[in-house]
Amino acid sequence: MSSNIILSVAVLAALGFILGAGLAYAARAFAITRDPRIDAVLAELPGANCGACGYPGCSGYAEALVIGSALITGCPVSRKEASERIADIIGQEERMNINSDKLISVVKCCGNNNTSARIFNYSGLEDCRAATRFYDGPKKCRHGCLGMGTCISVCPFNAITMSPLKLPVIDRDRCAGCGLCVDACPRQVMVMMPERSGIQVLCNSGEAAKAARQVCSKSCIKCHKCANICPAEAIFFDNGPAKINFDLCTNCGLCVQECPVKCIYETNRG
Amino acid sequence: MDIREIMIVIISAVLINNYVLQRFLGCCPYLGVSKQLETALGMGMAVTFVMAIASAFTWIVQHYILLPLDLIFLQTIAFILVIAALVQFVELVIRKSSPTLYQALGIYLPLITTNCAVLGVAVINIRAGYGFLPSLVNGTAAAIGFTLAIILMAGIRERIELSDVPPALRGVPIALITAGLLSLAFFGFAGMVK
Repeated sequence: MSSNIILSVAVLAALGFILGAGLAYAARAFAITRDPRIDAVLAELPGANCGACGYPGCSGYAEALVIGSALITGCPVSRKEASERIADIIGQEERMNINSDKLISVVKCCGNNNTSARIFNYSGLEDCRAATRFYDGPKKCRHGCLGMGTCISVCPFNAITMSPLKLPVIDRDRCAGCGLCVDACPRQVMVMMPERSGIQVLCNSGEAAKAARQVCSKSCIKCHKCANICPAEAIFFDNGPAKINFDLCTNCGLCVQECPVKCIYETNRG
Repeated sequence: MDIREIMIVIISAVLINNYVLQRFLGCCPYLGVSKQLETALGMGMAVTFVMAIASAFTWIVQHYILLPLDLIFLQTIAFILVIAALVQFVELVIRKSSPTLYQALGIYLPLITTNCAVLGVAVINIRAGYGFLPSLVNGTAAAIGFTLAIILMAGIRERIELSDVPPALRGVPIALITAGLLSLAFFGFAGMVK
């Protein structure tokens, strides 16, 4: 009886040992050499796996970069220095394409609960996309922010918070510029702008002055006062609210003073 | 062993004693991976691969290690050990030699390492007293039967996705009902070979 026990233990141990040794040998004999540059590139990427580059996570993008099927400018989150280090690793001659302007998102609406009128009281799902489907949302303005935080829910960097008056506030330090909120917003009220620039017209409404004022007291009325006072001629109009050409804007702030409805803000000063 | 005997083994394993639909082995991947035709095919290929190799190796272990040493009671644990190591080994080799096949089999290969259908085939081979070649044939045929069942199931489930199922039955319940009906249909093959 005891010999039986010893024998079975011995047989199983021998079997396990042989199979284990075989696997260990196979693991070495059939080892796959992975390109070490993939890991090096991966270490330089933000690692947020936000998917803004179009690949499944940072590792997929790193692999595509090394193979050469992706462009180094594909990651909107990477800082300039990181992009340059990646260019060093993979030797891609694309340095001139590296965008030195980091983009951040901004909510082009300043019509909060006090200034912007409502048509009805919405008590459905707290999601802008759902609210938009219900009679185009409760806000009288058809272009403004609905303030239900769809952008907050998609932001992988926790850079957006909701103000007490129901407007999203973007943390400029945390925003990585991935653009997911811009895609998610059903009102197209979020846009990307260069981080170095602060002045932005916080109104998305293209309605004429009277119609715009009827729904929101902070709406751009297209009076052209900002464009007239701008010394750099950076403000222009094309069938909509005032727009700023960030290549020309010098952040002087004159337009902010001049705007009669106060819908131009220096977003980098709170 | 003549052709007639091999044919009987094949027909029996594929249709009459289908491992999923008649013996109810391997129900986990059968229900889990049968949502899409493509993944079902991948799973079927992986199972075919593993079952064929496992039947051969477990037969060798049984007849050259366990029987001579009179250690039949170690059958289950020894078979699991052999099958698990074998699948790992095969995965390593495929990953090196054929990345395309590795991509196709993908996650399914390690998933079926200790699948009950694989172990079931190995044990049933021994119980039925098959020789080496019939064991191999039986293992392959059983896997083909599994592939047939899972592909049928995936095809039906893809259509169920598009049809108006009562809310209470959506998802797993209708899948289980479908599996039951499919199993009943396969009872029609019983008695086909006299």
